[in-house]
Amino acid sequence: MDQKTKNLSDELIVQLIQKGQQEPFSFLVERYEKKLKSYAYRFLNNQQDIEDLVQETFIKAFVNIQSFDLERKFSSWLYRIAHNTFVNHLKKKKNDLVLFFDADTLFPHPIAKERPDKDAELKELQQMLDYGLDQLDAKYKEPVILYYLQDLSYQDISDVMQIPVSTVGVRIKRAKENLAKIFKEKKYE
Amino acid sequence: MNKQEEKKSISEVIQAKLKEGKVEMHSKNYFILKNILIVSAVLFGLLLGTFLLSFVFFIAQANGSVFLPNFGFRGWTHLFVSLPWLIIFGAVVIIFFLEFFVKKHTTVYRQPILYSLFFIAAVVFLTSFFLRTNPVHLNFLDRSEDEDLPIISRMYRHYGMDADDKVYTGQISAIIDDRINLLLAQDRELEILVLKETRLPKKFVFKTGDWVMVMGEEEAGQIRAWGIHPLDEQWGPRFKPNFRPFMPSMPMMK
Repeated sequence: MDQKTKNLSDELIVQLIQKGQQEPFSFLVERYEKKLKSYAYRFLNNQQDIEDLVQETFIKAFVNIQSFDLERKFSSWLYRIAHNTFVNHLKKKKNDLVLFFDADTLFPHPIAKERPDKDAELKELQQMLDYGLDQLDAKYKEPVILYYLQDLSYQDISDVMQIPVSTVGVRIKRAKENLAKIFKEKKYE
Repeated sequence: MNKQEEKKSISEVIQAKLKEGKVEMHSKNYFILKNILIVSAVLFGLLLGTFLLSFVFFIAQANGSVFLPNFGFRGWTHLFVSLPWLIIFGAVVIIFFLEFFVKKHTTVYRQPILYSLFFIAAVVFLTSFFLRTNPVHLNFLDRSEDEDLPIISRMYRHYGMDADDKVYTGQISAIIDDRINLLLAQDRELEILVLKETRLPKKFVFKTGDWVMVMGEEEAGQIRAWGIHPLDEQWGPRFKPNFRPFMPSMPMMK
């Protein structure tokens, strides 16, 4: 496989795969392997099944790649598959069920804007997250991971979790409030 | 994963599986077919939901429930009790089923569920309301009298009011002072007593041959009317009391 293909955008690589070339898929795996492992590690709280689940995510992506709409973002699509794989895994283990109708998605919320001071906030928050994430509910934990650690936008997170964009903002806000409470209780400043 | 796979990176493992042909991608046709099935399911759901809800509107008109509020609080209570709740429940389930399917679409899930749920319910409700007089229902109703269509006949045949519930529909056979003789289905005749408190339509003079709905209490062979409401010529002759959807054990009124 040539360097030229390697430098193509995700969507152009997918186009090649859809046309019948299998090899470029490995570029996509290389690009997202680390990110998905980190996503899975944070989301699932354990390292045991992560390799298998990430592998399963990529295999599902390959099997269903003909359904990918080239007008959309590949990363959101791949994260959506990962999200489903991880949620199904959690359901199997009956750890944390994600409900079909959640009050956050049911009602309209004022659109929460993305923060312009995200970068400055990031370092401090990452340290805090390491400590507090494990204690958050899955529905609050996941958008925080995707936004602060995977660098996805609210719109991308909305596509991954299939929830309204405003709900993403609400959940991130609540997650931060919950984290603040957790840190306060543990006297972690 | 076996030990050999653990040593390899995920990329290598997947590449090996692809080469060995252990993993095959679904064809484009597979997804086209899948989408056709989803769209068909949504369309079918929309049609079925609209059919059921328009049946509720139709039946309310056909069995006269729609006129019950003219009899005041007792009329409202009777309307509430006589609604075909099983069918309404079915329509609500279908609306949730539709929400489940359309929720997967980008433009839908980016909005609060309440919006899409309200939109689907409004579409089904309004379409049903405007289709309540469509010929399909009349056709099924007429056919159900003679033919035994599966489910449909039972739905249409068993509509009407329960006489025990104090509602009577029939044709006026005679008017003598404050008494009205009402000819019910199957030649049963009742004497209706019109009282001071009887709710009557304004500027309407009843005459022999009119189809009416009467709500009242039976006392010594007479019905002390709480209210009398005129019925349309089109609907009057169709009334068949004792309607209870999907409860075939309920006897038809004799």
